[in-house]
Amino acid sequence: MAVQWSLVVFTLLTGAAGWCFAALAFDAVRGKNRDKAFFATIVALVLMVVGGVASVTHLAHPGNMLAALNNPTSGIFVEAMLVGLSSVCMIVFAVLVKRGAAPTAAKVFAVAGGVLGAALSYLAGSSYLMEAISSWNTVVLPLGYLATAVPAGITLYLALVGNDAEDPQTLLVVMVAGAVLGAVFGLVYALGSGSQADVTLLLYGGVVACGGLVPVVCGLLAFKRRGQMRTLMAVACACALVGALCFRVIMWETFVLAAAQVGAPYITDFMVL
Amino acid sequence: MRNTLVIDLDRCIGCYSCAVACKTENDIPLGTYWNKVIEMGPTINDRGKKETYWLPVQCQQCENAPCIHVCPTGASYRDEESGIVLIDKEKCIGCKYCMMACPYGVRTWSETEQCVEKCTLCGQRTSAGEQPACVAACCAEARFYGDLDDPASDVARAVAAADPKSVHALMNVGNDPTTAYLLSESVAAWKGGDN
Repeated sequence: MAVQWSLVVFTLLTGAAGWCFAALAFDAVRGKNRDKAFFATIVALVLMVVGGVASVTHLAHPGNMLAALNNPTSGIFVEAMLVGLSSVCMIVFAVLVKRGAAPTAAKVFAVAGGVLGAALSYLAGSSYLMEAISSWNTVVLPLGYLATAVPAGITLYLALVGNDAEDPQTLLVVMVAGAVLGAVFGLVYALGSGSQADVTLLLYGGVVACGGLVPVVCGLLAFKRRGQMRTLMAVACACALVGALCFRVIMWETFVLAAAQVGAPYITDFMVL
Repeated sequence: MRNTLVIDLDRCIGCYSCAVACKTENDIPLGTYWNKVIEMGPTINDRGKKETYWLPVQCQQCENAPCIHVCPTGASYRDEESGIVLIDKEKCIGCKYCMMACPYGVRTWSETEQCVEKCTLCGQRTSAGEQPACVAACCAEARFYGDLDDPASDVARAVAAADPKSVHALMNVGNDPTTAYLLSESVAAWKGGDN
């Protein structure tokens, strides 16, 4: 099966949006960087909506999404609900912040939206856990989806907040940890899948170097060079997105050979997409 | 009721009649297949001789069908009357999760109908008392259709008559395929996955 780019873009953008808003929620609870909250929320919301739309384009017709919403037990329904609910939380939070009303309620919606958005990055990956595809059927896969989304989202938020970010140390630590874990999960997944697919460049160049190493270095530099926070985080964000993209592409690249391992060496002959 | 196919690979000569008959009967577009014949080999066996067999593959009519489990709309379902796994094209939204979940890659995407399709065991023929097109067209009489739970059916009798060591199935990853392949070790070693 070829790389399903609609699904790659969906998980990439919604993951980044979810963790961007989760970082914003963390600051909102602490009362930090309030003046940047509205703008960062709008960016996260746009990414979440664009990601959701990308998912719908994967279907035969966008209107078919309504049929999927009739079945609350499916993975598609759960993902759609998380996109919808986190977007609603973002909208309500943005309105409350803009009007300066109900600060406690704003924090509640920020936390709810952040938790839902972060959870989406894991659940989007867990949709691919299928017994039929041995290389996909491991918890490392959704953990990789989660971990690679962490640096993408947090660096995006810190890049938006800019050089005068208040107290960014905790977020930087979480971002660096996410980048390290994303690279580790990428290695464990790709090398442990048993697939012979040639993903060397995607793995070491994309997931490890671009998605792991660069955000870690930028994060460590940002601890001391606050005046370059925006530049460092923008570079880290771009690289983290590339790393997250490569991780998702690797998942699709391992599909064909994994299928061969379960007795379907002819699977590529059938797949016409 | 477990309506399915049993395919005698000792008899199969690799003429591809089943694949052609399937495409003709079901008007399957160019480049896509509901039933495809895979050439397994040639390989060198333990006795130093070349061996080849042909493996026709289509929906394996799994008892624990993963395509049904992952379908978000219930478009993939098991017909209560015949026990056959089918697709309700009106309900299919084209998410392709069933294509990912099928261990055998036997589902295809129809560009013309914008939905997933697969072997239906020719319900339009079997409901009228006829054999599926692939079975009727098999010039080697290597394909059998019927209910595995009916001892008098063609499939049950074919399996009962075979050496148990010659009865194979594609690799089972928890989906329990019902389609059986008969291949004697004297003809070729089975390479289609473990039983």
